[in-house]
Amino acid sequence: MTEILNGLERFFSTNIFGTLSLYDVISTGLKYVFVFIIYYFIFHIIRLIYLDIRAIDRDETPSEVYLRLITRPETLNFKVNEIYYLNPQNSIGRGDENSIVLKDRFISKLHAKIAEQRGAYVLEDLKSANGTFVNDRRILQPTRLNNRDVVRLGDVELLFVNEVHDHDD
Amino acid sequence: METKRTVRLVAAVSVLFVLLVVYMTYFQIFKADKIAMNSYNQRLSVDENAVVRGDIYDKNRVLLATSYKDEEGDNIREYLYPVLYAHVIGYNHVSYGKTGLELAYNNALLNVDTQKTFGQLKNLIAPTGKGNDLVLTIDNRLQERAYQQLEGHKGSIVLLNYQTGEVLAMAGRPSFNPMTLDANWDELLSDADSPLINRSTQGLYTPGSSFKVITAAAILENLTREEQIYEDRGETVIDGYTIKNYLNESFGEIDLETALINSVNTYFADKGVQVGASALQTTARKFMMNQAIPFDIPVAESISPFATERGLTEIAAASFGQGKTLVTPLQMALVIASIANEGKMPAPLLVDRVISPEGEVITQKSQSTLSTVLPEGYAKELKDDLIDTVNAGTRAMIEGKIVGGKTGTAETASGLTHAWFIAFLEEEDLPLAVAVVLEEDDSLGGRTAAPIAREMFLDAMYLEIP
Amino acid sequence: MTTKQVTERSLRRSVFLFQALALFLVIIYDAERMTLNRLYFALLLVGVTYIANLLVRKLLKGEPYLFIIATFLLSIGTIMIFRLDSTSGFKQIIWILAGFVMYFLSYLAMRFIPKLDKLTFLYFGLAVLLFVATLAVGREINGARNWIIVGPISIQPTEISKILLVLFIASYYSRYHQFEDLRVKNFPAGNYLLLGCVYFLMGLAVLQKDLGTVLIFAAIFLAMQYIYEPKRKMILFNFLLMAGGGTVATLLFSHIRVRLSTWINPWEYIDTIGYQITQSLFAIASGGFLGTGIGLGMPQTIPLAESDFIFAAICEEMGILTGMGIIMLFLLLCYRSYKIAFRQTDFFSRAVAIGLATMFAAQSMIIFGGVLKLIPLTGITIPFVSYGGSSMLASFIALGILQCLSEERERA
Repeated sequence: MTEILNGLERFFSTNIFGTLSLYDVISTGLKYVFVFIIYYFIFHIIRLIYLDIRAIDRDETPSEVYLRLITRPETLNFKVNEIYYLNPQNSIGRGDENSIVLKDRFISKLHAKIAEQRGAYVLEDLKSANGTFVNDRRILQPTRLNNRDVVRLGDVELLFVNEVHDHDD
Repeated sequence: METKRTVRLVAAVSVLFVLLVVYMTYFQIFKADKIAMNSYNQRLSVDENAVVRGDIYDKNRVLLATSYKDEEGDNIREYLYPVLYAHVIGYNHVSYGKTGLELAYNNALLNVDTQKTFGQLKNLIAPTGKGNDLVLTIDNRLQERAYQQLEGHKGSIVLLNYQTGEVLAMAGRPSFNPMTLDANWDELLSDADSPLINRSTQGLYTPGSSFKVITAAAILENLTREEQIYEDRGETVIDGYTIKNYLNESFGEIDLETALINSVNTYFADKGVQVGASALQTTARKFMMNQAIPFDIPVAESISPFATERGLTEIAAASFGQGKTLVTPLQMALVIASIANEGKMPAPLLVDRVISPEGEVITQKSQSTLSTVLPEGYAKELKDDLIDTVNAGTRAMIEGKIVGGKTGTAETASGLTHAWFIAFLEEEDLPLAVAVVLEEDDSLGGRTAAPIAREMFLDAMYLEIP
Repeated sequence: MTTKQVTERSLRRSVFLFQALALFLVIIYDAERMTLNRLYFALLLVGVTYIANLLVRKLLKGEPYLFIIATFLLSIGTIMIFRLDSTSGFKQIIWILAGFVMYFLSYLAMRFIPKLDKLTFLYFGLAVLLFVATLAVGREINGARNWIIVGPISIQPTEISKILLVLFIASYYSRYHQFEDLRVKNFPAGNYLLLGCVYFLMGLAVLQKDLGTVLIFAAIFLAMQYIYEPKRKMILFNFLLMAGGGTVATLLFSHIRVRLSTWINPWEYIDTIGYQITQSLFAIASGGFLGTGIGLGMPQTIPLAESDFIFAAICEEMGILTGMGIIMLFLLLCYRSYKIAFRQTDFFSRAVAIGLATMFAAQSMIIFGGVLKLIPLTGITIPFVSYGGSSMLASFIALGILQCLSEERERA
């Protein structure tokens, strides 16, 4: 091993370009690379922070359409909100990537999604283990949600509120 | 509430961090070069043996300093006129450090430019092994004459072109031999006459009556014609302090010109007090007192007491160049140069250009105006007054030539006066200004310094005009 | 794959790339003195930081950026330390690995130990104990008596006491109503209890001649007081007391006056007390924006280059731009830490986050200012970057605590 190191040292000390060794050249070249990496890093951190802030902003803008918790929070052993405002795209499940996170044992990691289609909100079950229920009926395909529908997943019951488009189909 | 305060705290912290970043940029752009140029910075000596140090020439391409490799491959620095340029060029010694131009232009002389990207790239691609050369504004013949003129005295002579600012000669005594430092170092250090100091740029002297030029400028700008008239009774008392003229002479009713010609102390004392410290300081600052004068080698700041003193006796004394006033010879040369140059003080130049070993000009120093000391009208008037002063009988008069100037005989704490003479020569191809100071010479400026100035002008005319 | 995930991966990779290239350079530079051990440890550093970042990302839910910012900072620092002296570099890597462990341990401690906000005087007591121990058995190094030598290892207990101070103040304010009405024979002692305790600690630090720590304590206390103290007049009182105390201390203690004159004009004392700061300034001024290149400068002329003046060495060889980059990374670190305070529902969590964020901010700014001659030198370290085991451990403990606080969790 020491031979390899010594060999390396000798190799890099050889003079190319007059009195400058290979090491000098490489070190000089690399300093531009290092500064570039550092600022690339800083730029991306700032970008990530910015994306974070934007996401929070969007999350916190109340919309007219939301899910309201029916089940009493004390009966649940995980954290829940009273109101979940709905975005154009929402996912519900146990996993942290979802826009609505419900850490219930009976809820799958990626359980269901609610998407807005031309003004209407459509609930779709994503092949969950225990099913998704609207007004106590298990849904097997994408179902349009109406104002005051009761959505249930696992132990959680939520009221879908959409006062904006309130008409029967 | 808590949130609001936290937000404020975060904002304050962020601002402080940003300020730090801004400061670092400021530091790099404005302060870094000057800080790095310090003989305690070992990085300056790194490339010493790899590169042959550049040569230094006078304005006519006379070789003044050069380097060569001896048998062992060490670089030897040779000074062809060692004692003449000991202060201007300085020395480059492994133990005693670097001074003068050897320090200020160290990077250029070694062709080392570690900070600039292109410099480094250039070194990578085509390293030459030889540093750059300097061409100075100094004329070696005049430098030699100046040094000779100072024989038997301590002091300095600074001769420059008052239009371009080029320094043609800058000599000081006592001097030393920079090639024999090893043998003489201890002696030089302990010599009470401080031969190592560059008197022209670092020596601070009481100016005596030569300072009246500045006071006169302030008087011209701040007092009306009527106010400039004065009834002299040979002495005046300000706040209990008695001021007399030389030989107790009394001149009766005089104006500014007469006061200058006869160097009337009482006039300047009373008029100085009348103008007031703050106006005097404004004028002094225009003459670059209390300010850093940009030059190729460091210049000590001249001290004008008008900045801080408010006592009338102090103002009076400073108005005729005594008291706490201290000036460098270069400063006074620039003062007289600005009057000769119709109110514009030229920036002094020592190095004219830096050239590569192949002869290509890398840096050409350009001329500029440092400061406007007086409006043109007043400057011309003062210039005429100074010409009359010389014609009235100081020993600087040159037949058929226009010479103006002012003497000075400064009282010092040691009891031995400094002999000053500052003057200009108005000659078409040779607009010269000179400052001569003979340190603790115990003689009159008009008698000893003035003839030296005259000789310098004559020599210059003899040598320079084709 | 979201943009976020892609970017996080590129962050990890840029750190990895940086470490790899820089270490490659340093190993060649010092090849003849490179022992096998050191080589392995250098490689270990690269591997372990990559894995540690991966683990943090996968396992821990809260703040994703703190750990990787710290990793980049310590990378820059370690490279330079390794370049200056591979023995110190080797030791630093060991401390970093220990730091990673402490990070996870303090995360777990913060998460699972109940009633942490109630232990007010335990924190205070521990801090006092540490100070007293240092004063009793400690050794004076470089003008500050704040080291304890245990065998081959030297520790600086004051590094931990900063964290204890934050915990103490935070828990005090979370139980404020319990103390505010305390009276001792009609004297409203409750008002002054916190003040008294903090000043007592600062006094102990002054006795140790550790001025930097005093400044950090003052900054932390002022910041937390500004945000949390209901009796606003106490803040003014505190501020005046500090100004007064500072003046008195300057008049009393010659070593403070020495530092002040060195700061004002080091050039005059360039041979003696000014040597350090002037050499540091030469180094910073000689690097240019991009630096001279690793191994091509002369940072060895700076005394204490690995610890107090590592910043100057970095600026010389890696450029002013890198120096600015480090400052910006600290800005981001503190910003993210403060952000945690905004998101927490629990008072104690918020207060601790603010305290620790201010600790990082104050410490880094004081040392940057000192090295650049903006303020007098105080002999403290740059978190994560400077050489120093206690500093590294304390910084990682703080980071672990912050990481735990950043997760949204109900306090038991």
